[in-house]
Parts: sequence; C-alpha cells; structure tokens
Amino acid sequence: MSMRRGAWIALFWALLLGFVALDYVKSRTRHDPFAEPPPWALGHAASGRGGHCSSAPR
Amino acid sequence: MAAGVAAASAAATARSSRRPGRIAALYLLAIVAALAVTFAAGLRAGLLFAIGVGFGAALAAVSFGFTTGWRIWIRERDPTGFLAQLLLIGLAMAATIPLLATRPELAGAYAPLSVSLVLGAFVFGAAMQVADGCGSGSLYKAGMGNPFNLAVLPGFIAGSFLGATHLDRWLALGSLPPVSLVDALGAGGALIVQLAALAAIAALLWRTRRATGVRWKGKGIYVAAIALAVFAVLNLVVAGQPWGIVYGLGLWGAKIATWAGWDLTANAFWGRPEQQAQIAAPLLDDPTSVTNLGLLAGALIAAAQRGTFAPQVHATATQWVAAVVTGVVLGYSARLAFGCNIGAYFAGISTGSAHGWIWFGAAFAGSVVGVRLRDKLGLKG
Repeated sequence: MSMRRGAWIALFWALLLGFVALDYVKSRTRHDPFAEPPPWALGHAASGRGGHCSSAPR
Repeated sequence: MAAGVAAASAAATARSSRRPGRIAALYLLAIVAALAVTFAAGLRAGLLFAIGVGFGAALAAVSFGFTTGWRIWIRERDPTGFLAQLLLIGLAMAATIPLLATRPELAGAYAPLSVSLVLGAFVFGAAMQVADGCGSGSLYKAGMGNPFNLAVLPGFIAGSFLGATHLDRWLALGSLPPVSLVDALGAGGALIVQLAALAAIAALLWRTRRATGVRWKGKGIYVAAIALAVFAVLNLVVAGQPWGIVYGLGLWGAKIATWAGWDLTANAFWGRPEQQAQIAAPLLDDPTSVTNLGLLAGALIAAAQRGTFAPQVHATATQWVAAVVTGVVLGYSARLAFGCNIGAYFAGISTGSAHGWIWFGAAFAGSVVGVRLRDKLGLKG
C-alpha cells in the first residue's frame, strides 16, 4: 500500500471517528443507562424513535 | 478501472504476509469499539454494532455484490451473484415474515408506491453500475479502503440528506399507500407467493446461463448469503426494524446541515418529531447508523485478513469526478426510492412490501442502462 493511499484511508477513518465523537459531544440528549431500552426489540414494546429508509414525510 | 482493482486485489493477496499481530489488533479494536458503543448508547446499540461487523465481514470476505451480481449476469449471463442475492432474500424472508405476522413490536420496510419510487430506483440502478457499488457495496468497499468508494461516500451522505429533504415534492407527483403482502395475503400466502416468484426468477436465470464461475468460484458466496440472512434476521429482532443503510447516511448529513445552521424543523421529512429527536440525539442511538459503522469496521477486518485491503485504483480525473457526482446521485435517488438495494430491494421484499418488487424491476432496468454508461465512461471490467 502506498503512503498516499494509506494517508487517504487514515484521513477517512479520522474524519469518521471525529464525526462520531463530535456528534456525541454536541448531542442535546445523553444516554441514561438506567432508562435504556431492552437489549432487543423482540418481545418488548417498540421504542418508536426510529427512522428507516422506507420512512416517508408527514 | 475495476479490472485494475481486481488485478491489484489479487496482487495484494499474493503479497499479503497476513500479519497476524495486526489482524488480532483489529479484532481487539472491534471488540473495544462494540464495548464503547454499549457504554455510550446501551446494549442494544452494542449488539447492533456487532451485527454490523458481521454484515461487513460477510460482504467483504467474498466481495458479495448486488451491483456486480447484476452486471455479470447482464454481460456474461453468469447467474452466480444474482442467485446468491435471491437465496439471501428467500432465507431472510422465511424467518422475517412469520415474525412480522405474529410480533407487532417488529416493523417491516413498508413504503408508498410512488412515481418517485420508480424514478429513484431506475436512476439508482444506473448509478450503482457507474459507481461499482450500491448502498452496501459502497460502504463495505470504503471499509476495505477502496479509494474510489472513499470518494463516493461523502456524496452519498449529501445526496441521501438532500433526497429526504425534497422527498415530499417528489411524492406530490403521485403516490399510493404502502402495500404489505403480509396484511393482504396473510403470512403463509405472502411467503408462498414471494418464494414462488424468487424461485421462478432463479429458474429463469439458471436456464439462460451462458457461463458460471466468471467472478465467484466455489460455495463462498452462498455461505456469505446464508450468513447475511442470519445477521439480517438478528438485526430485525434487535432493532425492531429491518436492515437499512441510506437512512443512516442521510441522518449524518442532516446532523452536519443542522450544525451548519440549516433549520430543518419545518421540513416535511426532517421536521417530523422522530427525525428531530434523532438529529438531537447521538447517532449511536440510530440503529441504521450503528450498523453502518459496524459494517465499515467488519469490512476493514475481513479485507485485512484476506490481504485485499486498500486495492490500487487507476482512474482518470474524469472518473474521479464521476465517482463524487455518482455518490450524490446514488444517495439522492435512494431516498426517492425509499431505500437502496438493502433498505428497499432486500428489506422490502423480505418483509413482504410491494415496493421492494417495484424497486427491483425499476433498478434492474436502470442497471441495464448503467452497464452501457459504464462502458462509455471507460469503466470496463
């Protein structure tokens, strides 16, 4: 792998992880470990917060 | 260019010293990342990250291609990749439809039957051939360090965001409500009709085959299809919704736009309470975003293990520009079509949504055009 390709890939991962970290810091809501949803949806009430590719506008 | 990628991949495999220390470090990093996601967003998010790693590893390990599967059938009449897709959809459907019929807490991928669906899927089908990557393909190849797909991804994010932003205007062209075949025919009826349709397509592909083993040799691609089906069912069980890709990328774009000062509260899509809550919350709370991140990590690990990480790409300036532009088109058209090959084609059909079948037909027609366009741009192979 050339240095240039390696640099582009490193930049990609740095930007991605930086984006996730920045998003976490800037988010107005924080995860509450005592109020988190069950580990899986099956058998529990739907959380109702999601979005999916099939979601349509109001 | 793709031929160059393939040759370089083979060379990379030959050159690879399979550095076990580095690969073990990558596995360790993935475990640490899953634990970090669990700490930051809960066990459900951690599980979804791990499922995403499984998606990425299965896709990258055999270069499972929705785009390539169709292109090789169109060019060579080799049905291997196409048949693996049908196997994946059929297997997932056999578990998903009974679950959806009996468990109201789980949701399928049901979308309106709109003009935008047909237009978007057609354009997406053409663009994915030019970009040599659909939703999952662009993501896992970016994870593998393919520079061409690294160039596609930012455009994909911008396009997904803008497509969702404009979706209400496209829906004004004409739209019918979503159709769930599970509701219309019952679980048994939907399963029988859809499995029969998949079997008929598979039989047609097999009867008209002219070559096999052009790209995928051995049973690896079918094993990957089985693994992907298992991960997709797990995704539904854990997330409560089917596997998707493009929505997550659009959400990333919406977050960046909001940080830049764009007020999305009045937008017909991003202004919905669910979307506003997701823009305000960490992206690790969004199932699609978390599986996307896991997918990238899983593809990186699989590529490192196979010695196919960071393939060398020889592309002209025009082809690089085409990659960026095509990324925008892919993202935009996927939102018009209510999903890409995963969110609409795979998740739509496997959860019994009529829009999945319409997406399939329109995107395949687009791919026939896209393969010719690819040749004209000099992107052969």
